[in-house]
Amino acid sequence: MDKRFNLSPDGRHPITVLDKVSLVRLPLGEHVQLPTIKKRQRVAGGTLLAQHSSPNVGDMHAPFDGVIKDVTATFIEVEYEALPEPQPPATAEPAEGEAPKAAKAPEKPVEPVSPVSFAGLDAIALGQTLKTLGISIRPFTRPCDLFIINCINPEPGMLYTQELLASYLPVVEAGLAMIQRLNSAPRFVLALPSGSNVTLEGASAYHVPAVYPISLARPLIRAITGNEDTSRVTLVRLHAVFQLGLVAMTGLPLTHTVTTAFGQNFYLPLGTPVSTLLEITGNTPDPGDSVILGGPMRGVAISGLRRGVRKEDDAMAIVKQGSMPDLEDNPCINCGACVAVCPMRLRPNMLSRYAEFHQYEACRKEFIETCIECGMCGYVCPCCRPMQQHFRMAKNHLGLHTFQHVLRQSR
Amino acid sequence: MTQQESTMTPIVPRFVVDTPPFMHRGYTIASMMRDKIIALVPAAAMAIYMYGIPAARVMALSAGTAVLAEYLWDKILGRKDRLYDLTSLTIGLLFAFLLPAGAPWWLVITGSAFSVILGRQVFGGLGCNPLCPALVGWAAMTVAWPMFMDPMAMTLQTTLVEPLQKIKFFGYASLPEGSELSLFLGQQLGGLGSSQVAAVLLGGLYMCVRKAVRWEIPVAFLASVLLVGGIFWYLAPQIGLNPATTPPPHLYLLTGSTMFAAFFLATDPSSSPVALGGICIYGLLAGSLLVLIRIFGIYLDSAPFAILLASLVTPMCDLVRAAPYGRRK
Repeated sequence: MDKRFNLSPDGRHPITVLDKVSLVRLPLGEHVQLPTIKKRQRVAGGTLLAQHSSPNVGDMHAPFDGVIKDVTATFIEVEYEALPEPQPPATAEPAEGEAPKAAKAPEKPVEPVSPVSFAGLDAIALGQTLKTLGISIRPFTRPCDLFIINCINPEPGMLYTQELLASYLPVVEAGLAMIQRLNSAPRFVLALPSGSNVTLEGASAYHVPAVYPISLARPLIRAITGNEDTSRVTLVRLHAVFQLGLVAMTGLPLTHTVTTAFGQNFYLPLGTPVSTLLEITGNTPDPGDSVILGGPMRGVAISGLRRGVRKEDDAMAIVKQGSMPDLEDNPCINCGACVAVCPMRLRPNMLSRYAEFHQYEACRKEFIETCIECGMCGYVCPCCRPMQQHFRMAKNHLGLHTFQHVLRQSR
Repeated sequence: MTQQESTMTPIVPRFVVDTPPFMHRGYTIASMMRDKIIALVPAAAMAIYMYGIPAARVMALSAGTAVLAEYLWDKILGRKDRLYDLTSLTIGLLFAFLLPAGAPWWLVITGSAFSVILGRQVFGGLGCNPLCPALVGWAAMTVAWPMFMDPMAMTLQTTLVEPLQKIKFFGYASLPEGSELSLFLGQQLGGLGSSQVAAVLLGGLYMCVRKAVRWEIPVAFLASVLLVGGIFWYLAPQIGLNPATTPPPHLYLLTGSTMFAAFFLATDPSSSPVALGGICIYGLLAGSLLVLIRIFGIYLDSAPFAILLASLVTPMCDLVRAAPYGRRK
């Protein structure tokens, strides 16, 4: 197997805290911006900017104090600007005030967002509160018999999980404690790469050889439970647990995330543009390269560098032109390489041919809904066929995209 | 830190927006065919060593014709030609390996063009052939001009033996003492490359290591030949066969083009099954047919026909599949 598939790279890759980011672009996606959010408005860090209609998807907040520079249909741009010093009222008590009020400011004063207390909330109220703090709660609240926290780097090239477990273990612990309040699963399991000696109270450790695609939900569930019934098993990524932990520790909205960008780990504000990260890491993509958000096996190529980091983006990378053969619209030669590697035991050769010739019902008979889009078939295909493209097209035609949406939420 | 970018300025630099995965094993059709051609080199060298310039002539003529035939076919039909991935060159070479070294030029050209056009291009080109293309040309030529395809008739003044004929008509005991080694080293009359057993095995192992072919196919095929051949050898007296003309199983592997068929013909990707279950059925079928045709048939070297016939049931073999994730009973 390709040594690039090792998901547990040696050495330390310390997480750099980026606190000097001066401009963020928060991609809206399906979020709807609040009508009160206007251009040139002053906001405090953590101010609610946009909401999602689903109770399971977290809302969106300003990552730091600043001014709204732009609001468009696709993103909200915030530029850093320190909040004006609160003017202590003439008759005020000493400046220890929990919520200082700037009475003499010419514009309406902006108050810092205050933390929320989670004490005494039941699971449902807790879920509702967390949603307003930016956490997508669905995977955490899903009823199950076994709850797995996937502590393996999801895709090749990602480096953050071992660093989160080494340097940010208290945050992960806080996240796990919060999950245990949200979910009544009788068993919690940490899926760790073999050789890791991390232990966490409240969850048993399970070691698996960290070779892609074991890091994806279904192969990992098979490795841990020994069977392929996923109906009573929930699996979340460490990335999501870390974000939950950040909120659980502070009581403040989710404003930061961890990303492996161009080979380095960063703790950065949400919405940090890709171009900023390129500058910091000293990378310059050339024309003809691809810049991808996410991992090399399942990520998305972006067309411009203005795009900001979303909550679920845990990696970005440059794919140099010529580092792999170009995708081509070649016919399938039936060599069987994809059938041999498919972790779902599908027949990608037939699936991609059916999709190519619009035989979508035949795709359904070939169990296309089982496909986890791991990318292994495209990786081995000697004809360089766009396998995932075919599968996604077929899934869309069959109306399976909601299913995939659920999958992406829970991965 | 962040430069002012206006939505009106053109996006610089221009990126390639592709679909995942953004990693590739780096092994393409062209690499696969290159490995196949490398794997053919030992047998080709042995053929030239044994038969001299006539063997080189047949191989060059066949390979050249195959490439030209594909080019002209694509040109006439207005398709984009795919000569760069070397598939037609491979077909031409495989066809040449099945011919006797003394084959006349018109037979080589006709057969090679037949292989490429009738064997593959009429079905839609790369990946669409239901049968191994070189075998289609070989079968057409064998049926049309059996005389010119017969290595015995086409190779004059030679000290080499034609083991298949000896076994069939004089019994395997008529082979010279200790002939296994000389058969293995290619000291036999047959197709110019396909009878170079040792060289073909070497090339075949190279292809398996490089994963240019699935190793399961030759293993299944050769194991089936040994198994079925062994059964007939063991049971020959009981079922009324002449024990003298029913050779021990290893002789099936050392004579004719069995080894060549196992590694180069049976493994043709589009005419062989993809999954392990199907491969086992396919190998068993091809192996049994080889033994049956050699014992009961009129064709001496039955390996190409065995593969050709087994390829016909490949779609059925492909119905044997593993249950996908979560659907195992």
